[in-house]
Amino acid sequence: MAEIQNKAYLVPNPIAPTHTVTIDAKKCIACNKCTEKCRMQTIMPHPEKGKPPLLIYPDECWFCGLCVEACPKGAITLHYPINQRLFFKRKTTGEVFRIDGPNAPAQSYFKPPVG
Amino acid sequence: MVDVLNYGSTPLEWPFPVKYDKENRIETDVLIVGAGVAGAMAGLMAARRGVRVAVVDKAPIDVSGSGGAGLDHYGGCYSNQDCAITPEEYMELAKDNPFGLDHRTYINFKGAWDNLLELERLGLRFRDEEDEFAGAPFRDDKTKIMYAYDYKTKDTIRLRSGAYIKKYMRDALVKEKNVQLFERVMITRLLTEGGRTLGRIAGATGVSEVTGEFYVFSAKAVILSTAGVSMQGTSTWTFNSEMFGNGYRSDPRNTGDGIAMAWQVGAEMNSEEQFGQALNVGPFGWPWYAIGNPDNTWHGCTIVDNKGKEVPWVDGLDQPISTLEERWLPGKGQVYMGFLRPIPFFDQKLIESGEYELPFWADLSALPEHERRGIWGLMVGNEGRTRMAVYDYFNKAGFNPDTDMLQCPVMNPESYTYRRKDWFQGEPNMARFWKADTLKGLATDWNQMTNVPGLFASGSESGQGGAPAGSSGAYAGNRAAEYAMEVPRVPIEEAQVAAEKERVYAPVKRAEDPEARISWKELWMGLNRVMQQDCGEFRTEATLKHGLMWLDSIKEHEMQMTYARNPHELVRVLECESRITVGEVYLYLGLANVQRERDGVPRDKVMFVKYVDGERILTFKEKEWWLKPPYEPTYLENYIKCRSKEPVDWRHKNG
Repeated sequence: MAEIQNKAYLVPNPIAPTHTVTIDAKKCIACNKCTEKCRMQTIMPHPEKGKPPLLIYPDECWFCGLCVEACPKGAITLHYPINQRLFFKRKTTGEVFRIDGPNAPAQSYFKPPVG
Repeated sequence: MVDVLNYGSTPLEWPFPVKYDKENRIETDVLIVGAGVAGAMAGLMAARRGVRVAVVDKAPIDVSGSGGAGLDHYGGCYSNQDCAITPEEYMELAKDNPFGLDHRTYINFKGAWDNLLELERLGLRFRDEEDEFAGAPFRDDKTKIMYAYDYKTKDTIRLRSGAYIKKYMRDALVKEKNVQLFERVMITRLLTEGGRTLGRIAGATGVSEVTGEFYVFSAKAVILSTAGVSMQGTSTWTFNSEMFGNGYRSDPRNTGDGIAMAWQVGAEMNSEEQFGQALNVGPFGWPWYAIGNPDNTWHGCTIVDNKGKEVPWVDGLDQPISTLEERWLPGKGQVYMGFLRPIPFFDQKLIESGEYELPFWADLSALPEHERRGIWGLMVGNEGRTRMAVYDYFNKAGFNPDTDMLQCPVMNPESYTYRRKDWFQGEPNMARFWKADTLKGLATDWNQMTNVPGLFASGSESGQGGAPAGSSGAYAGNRAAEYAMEVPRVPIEEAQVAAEKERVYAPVKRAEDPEARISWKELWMGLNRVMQQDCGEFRTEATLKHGLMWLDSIKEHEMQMTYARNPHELVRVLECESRITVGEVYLYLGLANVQRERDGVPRDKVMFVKYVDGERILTFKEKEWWLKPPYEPTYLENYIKCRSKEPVDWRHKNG
């Protein structure tokens, strides 16, 4: 964690859900293919060419995930809002996990979807 | 976290060229408004008849509409020869269907199978060609078709690559040389002969959400396929701005634009008093198909309580069933399953007493492999918004359907006893019924044309939602093309265009005005409050009139103070204005119902309501008017007659 600094900004309140998708700037090649699939304009191209798209209207996100699928570099991650992250229970061990929770198990199901 | 959400004093420039002053003029024969499954199919069919077609959508057409993020099954395939009942038999059996049915239901179901074969030609896969499900009870080994829900009746067919249904349709549209596509353009108003209500259709205006430029379309026929008024839960009839997009089942761009535009030119609506929460929307909404539940896409999934005790099942007529297989069969005494599907069910006292402990869990692992994979992989994976947002997301999060159970939302005990929807939406009734559904949709004749000459409707717009939207669109596309071939072009009334341009750009022009302090979101909240207060479950003539007066006041005052700082906000303001008109439609229809009661019109008469030059006009037709003169007495005869001009004899196409 960074050291505390005596600095603060006068900014508008954040909107919620806040980060419905995150874009990994290291992987992003700024092709904007994700923005082309977004019906809500939740993510839009950056006005400066070569920069990753901007998450501008997260409060309108439909969570369709089409941006995740459109990304050729796997740079986009979808995040459900906290109030929509339920639990799942492993029958074999009785362990309880939550979607995107703190102790998420490693992926163990790898079949691609049908079709 | 540093990001643009917390922008400083200098906002970034809009990333596209802004062209509020640019006007495009397009001449076409058939204009399609909204290119979801219905509209895209309408455009394709109209184009194949040789007319020029302009297909317009507010979103990219390869992903637009409620089916744009996928579709996992095609329902109503009664024309498939392996289906146990015919479309004609269905119309007879379902006569008392609480969802209501009319000639459009028949058009839907008669054409659904044919339409699915057309989609297969376009690239959609639905047969189990790789034999992944060989031996499964829902698979026909000869045709390799996989059925859903009711394995005996075989009316619903699972789709293998339904996640990309709209991509196949867009690819097909692009190949048609007489089709022009307009994406991210919102149609704002219908143009009519002389600019008059009930005048013949002359075209429509539109605005781009990318550049803000203006469009004027000249067309001989317009097909509205914008959804918004179907009997499914849609955002237009849930007057609640507290919801998150994740709780929407249908496309959140579904803002009732079509219904608003149709109402403004005097199109008739069918009206019926109904109440109830729209499905899984509102502050308590859960992401669709991403919670433990036993119904719909998750149909048949075993449910256990918190201690692992299995919940018993009943069939569609509430009779106990004991075997797993019966969950996918009609119950004793049921001809077919329809919407009365088997469901886990028990007395709420069993939860209150602690015999069953909450929360419940959906146990896919208790199902045989073909059923588990049929849900997790086939249905969840192709159904709308599930491929990435549920299947991929949950698998990556460590969920494994072979070993893990997914939690069901905790609800009031009584909610577990309700049929169907509550299981998969999670306590809908904690919220008041902020929906006053008086609207059964745009009224159309056997050609799917409204009472406004040249204005057609298809898909959910005409009261038909779900998969058969495609057959509705195909049919309307053919009828509109035939109409366009016969009628002369109606000249555009320039005064109407100028007035609309003034309305469309007003929110941009006033953006710098200090008095313009209302955002589109606040305008939406204002509308919602009016509808929650005056058009709720308890409503009277006085509250309905009060609601109209309230909306008038907002329209005159706050709506004139609503600003737009970019094309996105502009389109959102215009969508709010559509929503406000839809609110007015509900209030007027509520008043029409009051008037109908007062005049003692029998309940079996079908009411049509239109609004012409400041006057609400009610007309009535007799029950099953679509089978009475001037129409033929049977569904099949009317259908054959209406399709008789098609160059290919559709009756012989499928052997």
